[in-house]
Amino acid sequence: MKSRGLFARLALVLGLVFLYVPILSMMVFSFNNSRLVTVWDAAHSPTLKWYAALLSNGQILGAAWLSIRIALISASGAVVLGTLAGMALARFGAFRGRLLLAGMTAAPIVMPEVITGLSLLLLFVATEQLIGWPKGVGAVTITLAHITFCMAYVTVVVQSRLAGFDESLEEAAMDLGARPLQVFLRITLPLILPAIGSGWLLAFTLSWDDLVITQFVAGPGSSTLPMVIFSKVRFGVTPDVNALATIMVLIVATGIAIATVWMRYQQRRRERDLQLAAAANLSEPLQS
Amino acid sequence: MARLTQAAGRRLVAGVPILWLLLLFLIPFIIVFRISFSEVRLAIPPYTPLISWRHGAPSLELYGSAYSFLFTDPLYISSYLYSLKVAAVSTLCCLCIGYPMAYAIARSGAASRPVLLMLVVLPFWTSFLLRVYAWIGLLKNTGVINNALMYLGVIHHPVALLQTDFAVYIGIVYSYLPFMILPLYANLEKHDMALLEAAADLGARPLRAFLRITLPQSFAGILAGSLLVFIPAVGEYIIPTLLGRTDQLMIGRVLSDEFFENRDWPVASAVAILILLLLVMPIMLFQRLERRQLEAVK
Amino acid sequence: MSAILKMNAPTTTAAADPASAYVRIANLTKKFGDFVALDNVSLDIRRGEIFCLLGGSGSGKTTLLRTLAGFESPTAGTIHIEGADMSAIPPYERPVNMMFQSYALFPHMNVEKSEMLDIVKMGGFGARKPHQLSGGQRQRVALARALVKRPKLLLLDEPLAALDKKLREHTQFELINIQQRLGVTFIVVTHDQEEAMTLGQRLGVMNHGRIAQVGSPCDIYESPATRFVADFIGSVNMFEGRVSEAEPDGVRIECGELACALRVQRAVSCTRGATVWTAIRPEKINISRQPPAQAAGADNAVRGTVREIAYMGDLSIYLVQIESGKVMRVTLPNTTRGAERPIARQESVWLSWHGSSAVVLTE
Ligand SMILES: Nc1ncnc2c1ncn2[C@@H]1O[C@H](COP(=O)(O)OP(=O)(O)OP(=O)(O)O)[C@@H](O)[C@H]1O
Ligand SMILES: [Mg+2]
Repeated sequence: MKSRGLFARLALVLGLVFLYVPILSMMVFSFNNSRLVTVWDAAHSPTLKWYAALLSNGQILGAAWLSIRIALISASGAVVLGTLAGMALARFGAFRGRLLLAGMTAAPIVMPEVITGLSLLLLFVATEQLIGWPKGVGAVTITLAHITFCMAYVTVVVQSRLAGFDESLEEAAMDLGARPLQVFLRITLPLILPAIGSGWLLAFTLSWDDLVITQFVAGPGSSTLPMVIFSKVRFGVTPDVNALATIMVLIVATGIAIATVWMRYQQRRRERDLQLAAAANLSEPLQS
Repeated sequence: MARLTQAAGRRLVAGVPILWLLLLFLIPFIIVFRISFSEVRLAIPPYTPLISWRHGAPSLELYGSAYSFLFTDPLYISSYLYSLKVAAVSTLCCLCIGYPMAYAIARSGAASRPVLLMLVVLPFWTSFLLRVYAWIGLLKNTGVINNALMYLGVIHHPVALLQTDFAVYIGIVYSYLPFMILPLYANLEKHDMALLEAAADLGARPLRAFLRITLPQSFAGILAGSLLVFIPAVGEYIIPTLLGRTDQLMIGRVLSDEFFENRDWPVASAVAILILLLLVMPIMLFQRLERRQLEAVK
Repeated sequence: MSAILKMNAPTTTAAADPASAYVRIANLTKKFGDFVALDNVSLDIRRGEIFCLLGGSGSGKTTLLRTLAGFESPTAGTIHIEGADMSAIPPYERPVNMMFQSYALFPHMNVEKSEMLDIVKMGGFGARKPHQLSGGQRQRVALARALVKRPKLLLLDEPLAALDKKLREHTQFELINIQQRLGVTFIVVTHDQEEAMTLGQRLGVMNHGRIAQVGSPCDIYESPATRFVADFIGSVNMFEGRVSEAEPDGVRIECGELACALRVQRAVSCTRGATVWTAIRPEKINISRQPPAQAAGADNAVRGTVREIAYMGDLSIYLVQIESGKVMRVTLPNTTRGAERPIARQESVWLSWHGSSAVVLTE
C-alpha cells in the first residue's frame, strides 16, 4: 500500500513538472535579451524588450483584436444555440429529431478538426455558387464555423447541469401558474446560469485558440492570432511569441485564481447554511 | 390554445439548433462525400459537377478516381498507417503517465484534490498552439534540453530531437494528457476504498489488490480517456507540422496539403471520408460510453 | 386504528350521483409508447374529501396525479373538474396544485412570506433558502407553497415518504387538520397502507394501471373485492376451493388445501362448482388447545402445529402448520400481562373461525 502510494505520488509530481516546465521555460526566455531564444544572455537579461516589440507589432495586435471579436461573438452565439439544444435534449423527452440533434451535437467534439474545417469551407464555396453568399471567406465565415463547433461543448455542459436537476422544479412552477416563458426565465435560467457561464468561457477559449478549422475558412484579410503565431513559429522560434505566451498565461492564471477564491467563498457559505439546517433539525417543533 | 403555443415553443427551442447544425454540420458532410466522388478539373470550383447535361438530358457523374488514387499511391497508405501508429503509441504513453497521476489525485486528501485537478487542467486553458510551440524551444538542436545535456557533459554533440517521432509523441502526450487524466480521475474517485480494505483483509498484497480490483473497475475510465486521446490524435495537424518529421506526414497534414497545395479537392475529400471510416468505431464506442455516463447522472 | 376519523366518513356508497362528483375521471388511459401506465381508469372524487390512492410501485399512482395536474396528456378518456373539461387546459391554468414527491423547492429562491407558512407553523422561516431547512421543514414549506394559490384540489404525491416514522405519524394528523380548516379536496398518493387508512376517508387501490377497488378503509379491509386487494391490504390467509353448496345466505366450499370444509355465512354470488378463493384475516382466527365447539371434522376448524411465534408487543403472530402442510398465520392480542401457560412452539392446537369472518373472492 505504502510503496504504491509513493510511486503514484512520484508520478504525479513528475507529471506536473512535465506539464509546467515548457510553459515556465517560455516565460523565462521571454525576458532573455538574446535573439537566440534558448541561449540565456546573462549580461543583458532580464529585459522587457520583447514585450515592447510585441506591443508595437501591429500585425499581432490587429490579429489579437480580430480574434477577440470573433471569440466574443462566437461564444455568445454558441451559448444561445447550445442552451437551446441542451434544454431540448435534457427536458423534452423523446421528440422527433432528438436522435438527430443528439448525434449532431456530440459529433463535432470528436470530429478531427481538419475534416470539420474542410467540410465548412466546401459548404461556403457551394453556397456562394448557389446563392451568391458569402462573397469570399473571412471573419464572418470564421465566426459561423466557430459557433458551430463551440455550441457542441456548450450543449454538453448545459445538458449535464440540467440532468442534475429534477424536472419537477419546472413542473412545480407551472403548477403554481407560471407560463412556459416565465418558467424559463425565473426557474430554468437561474439554475443553469453557472453552466451557461462556464460554457461561454469554454467557447471563448476554444474560439480564441482555434487554428485548424480557422485556417480553412479564413480569407486573405482575416488572419486570427493563432494563424499569425503559426506562420511565425512554423519557420523558427521568435522571442516575441514567448512574451505573448507569458502574457496569455498570466491572464488565464489570474482569471482562474479569482474564480477559485470565489468558489471557496461560496463553498464556505454553503457549509455554514448546512450547519444552520442541521441545528434547525434538532429544534424541530414536534408538538403543535 | 395554450397547449398549442407551448408545443410551438418547444418546436422552436429544438428546431433552431437542429436547423443550424443541419446547415453547418450535416450538409457540409454530404458535400464532402459528394465531392470525393468527383474528378479534379481546372475551373472554379475545381471539381466536376454531380449532374451534367448531355444532349439535353441530365446524367449523373460519379468517379471513383480519388479513391483509387488513394489506394495506389503508397504515400497515402503509409501516412494512414503512420497516423494510426503515432496515435496508438501516444495514447499508450498518455495512459502510462496519466493513470498513476489520476490515481494519486483520487487518493489524495479532500482539500488538495481540487487544487491538483486544477493544476492538471490549467494548461488546457492556455493556448494549445503556444504549448506545442514551447517544445520547439526545448527540443531543437540549440534548445534547452540539448544545451543542458551538453553542459552536463552527457553528450558532446546535439542530439536531433526535433522533427522526430519522439517529438510528436511528446507533443501529443503533453497536449492531451488532461483528457486522459480527467475521465480516469472521475472513475477512480468513485471507487469504494472498502473493497480494497476487504481485499487487504483477505490477505491480498497491494499490487495484487490493485491488479485484481482497482484496475478492472477502472476499465470504463481507461477506455474513455484513451478514446479522448486517440481520436483527435489520428487527425492531428498542428503537432506533427511543428514538431514532426518532414519525410513522413500524418494523414491530417496530407488532407490539408492536398487541399491547399495541390488544390485537389476530390482527393482531399476522399481522405476526409477515409479518416472518418477509420474513426467510426472509436467514435461510436465513445458516444455509447458518454450516453451511459449521462444516464448514470440522472 | 383511527376510529374517530372514520365516524365522519360519508356513509353513502361509491356510486354517488353525478352532480356531487367534484372530480370525474372517465375511461382515462395513458400509454408511454406501448406501455400502458393507466388502463381505462374511471373514478369520482367528492368535494372536500381526502381520497387516498394506494398501490404497489409502478402501479400508475404518480401518472394519475400528473395527468390530473396536466403534466401528462391522456391517451384516451376525460377529466372533468367541477363539470369543466380539462383536456385543453394547461397545468398553469388548472384549479389544481400539486405537492411533489421530491418537494421541488426552488433552490435559488427564498421561502418568502405568506399566510400559508403560518398554517404549516413555519411563520418565522420566510427568509430561508431550501438548503437551509431540515427535511421536516422542507416538507412543510412544500405544503405551504402548494396551498398558496388556495387550490380547490390538492394533489399530494407521497407527501410524508421522506420523513422519519415519528414525524410522519405526527404530520398525518396535521395534514387532516389543515385539510379540514381550508376545506380543500385532497388526493394523496401513498405506499403505506396504514397511512392511507389514517388519512383517507375513501381509498382507491391501484394495480397495473387499473383501479382495483374504491371504498372506505373499512370496506376495503373487511370486504376486499379481489384477491389482489385482500393480499395488498393487511395480511391474509387465502385458500383456493370449489363451491359445493350455494344458498342465498351462504356457501359451503370444499378446499383441498384445508383439512376441513369452509362454510361462509355471507351472501356470495357464485354458482355450485365454481372455483373461488376464501380469505381469512389472521386476527379473526381463534387458537386453542381444546377442540372448538364445532369439534373435529366440522366446518371452519382445523388442527395444526405451532411452528413459529413472533412476539410483537401489542400482539403475537403464530405460524401454524395445518394437516395439509400449509402454514396459516394467526394473530392474537396480548390482552393480559404474563398470561398463564401461553401456547408454545411445537404445540398442537386447534384453529377455528366464525362463518361470517371469511370472505369469498371470485377473481
Ligand atoms: N415518462 C415516462 N415514460 C415511460 N414510462 C413511464 C413514464 N412515467 C412513468 N412510466 C412508467 O409508468 C409506470 C407507472 O409509473 P408511476 O410513476 O405512475 O408509478 P407509481 O405508482 O407512482 O410508482 P411509485 O410508487 O414507485 O412512485 C411505471 O412502470 C413507469 O416505469
Ligand atoms: Mg410515484
